[in-house]
Amino acid sequence: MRFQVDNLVAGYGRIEVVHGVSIEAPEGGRIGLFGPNGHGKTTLLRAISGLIDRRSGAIRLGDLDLTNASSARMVEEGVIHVPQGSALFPRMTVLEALTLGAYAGRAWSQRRRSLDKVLTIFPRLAERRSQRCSTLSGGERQMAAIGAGLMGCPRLLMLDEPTLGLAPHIRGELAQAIQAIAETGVSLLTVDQDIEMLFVLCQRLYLIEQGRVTLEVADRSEVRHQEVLKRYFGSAA
Amino acid sequence: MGPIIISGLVSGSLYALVAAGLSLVWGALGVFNFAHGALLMMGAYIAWTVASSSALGAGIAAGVVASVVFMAIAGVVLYFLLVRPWIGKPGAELSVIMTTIAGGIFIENLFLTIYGGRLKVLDQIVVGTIHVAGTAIQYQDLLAILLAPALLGGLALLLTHNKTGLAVRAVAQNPDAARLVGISVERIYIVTFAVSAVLAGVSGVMLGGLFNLIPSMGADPLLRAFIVVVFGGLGSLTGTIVGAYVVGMIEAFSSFYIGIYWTPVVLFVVLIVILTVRPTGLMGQAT
Repeated sequence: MRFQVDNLVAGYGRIEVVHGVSIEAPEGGRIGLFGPNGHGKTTLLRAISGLIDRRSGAIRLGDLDLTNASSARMVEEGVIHVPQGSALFPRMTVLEALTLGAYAGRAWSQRRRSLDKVLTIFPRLAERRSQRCSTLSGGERQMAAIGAGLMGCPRLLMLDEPTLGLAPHIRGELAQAIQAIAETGVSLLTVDQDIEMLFVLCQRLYLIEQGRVTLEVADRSEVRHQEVLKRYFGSAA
Repeated sequence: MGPIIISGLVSGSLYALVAAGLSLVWGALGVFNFAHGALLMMGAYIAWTVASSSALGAGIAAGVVASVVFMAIAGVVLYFLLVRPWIGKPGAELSVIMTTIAGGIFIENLFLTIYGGRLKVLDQIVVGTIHVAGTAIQYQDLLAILLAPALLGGLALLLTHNKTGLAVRAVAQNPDAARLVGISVERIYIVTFAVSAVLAGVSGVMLGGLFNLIPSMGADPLLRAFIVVVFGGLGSLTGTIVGAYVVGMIEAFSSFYIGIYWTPVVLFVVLIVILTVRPTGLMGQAT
């Protein structure tokens, strides 16, 4: 099912942060967003998931028009946002938090099967199931957050900086898990600073600067790769 | 010793019932409902209206049922009128303190106008006395002692094992993450207010059976419940319940051994000492 965001405008209060962003992912596709901090990547995700108001533009999933959908409706339709550095529910056990991931719509009746799947992808969560979320390490927290996202039976999973601030070996472990999730046919929208990871994972990349898409990379040939790196780090340095 | 412990348990149970409603709303919405005392009074008066032979005369059982139903609706109405317009706006905590204090005063005076200021007597749900280990206990006291743990235990089970209960805790701990798993936060707020108001109503009916009904009867329990919630630790329902029994026991023992006039002093000294050592309360967690 194709996911399309068309000319989306969003912001906080009087301040507009996202100035008409268009992105799209084909069914089962994997797209990545990158770019400097504070340029609207997270805001874009928050607008898509309905946490903040969308001022104009359109959001479609297949034939469904989700432009005015509430956050609850987005989750019911399978558009699931795993927020950045999520503490999830600090005073709940990992098992409770994962169960809540299946709160919406049809996911609830499938929660046991989904749980088995999540614990297969993230065996560490099985060891930690009765621990409170607040006692998890950064990597485990991220696993729990992604796991809760998977519990909602996503059609499109949006991951906001899943590897932020993690040690390299955990980062690798997570990247592998994300790859495994992608292979199950879930569409992925990943925001990350780790462009190398995005290049391996995604079929298409968008560079977001100043709340706009300033570069779209559809093929991953080495030449373009160099160009992207130059442009990205060139503008930062 | 027996009667003191019984008295402490009865007060503790009643405080626990009143404070649990307050704590639940604080946990989920991050606001204090200062109309909670008025809700308690309302619950007692509705039960009286349906039950008493000088009003509808349908008996105390019907009165309790009517009170529970009425209070659930009243809680929702109160939420929409006094709380919802300010939620999510800057300074919501303070605005809601003002609106609920105002609402509480309004409700109290509305009932004063309708029912008058004369004391009313609500039938006890159970009548009689039982002797346990040489101590006489009124059935109504025993009911309070048993009802609070039963109701609050049931509430705790719902919060850990029921889908909506889990959602209430999720909203309390991380509203954004709750939205992102598809929880309608607004719906949870409504449910929370309804449950909180029912707890207030039940406390009112229990209190009404032990004391008399007057429109200002909610003021003192509200103050006590407020102390209990802070003492037990903001946002922790377990802390609130433990706090309620601790406060009840301190009051009972201090009234007997030190004297009733010194009891508030004793209570507050203990509270101040505990809050100095543990600023987040007995079981509160720094966020």
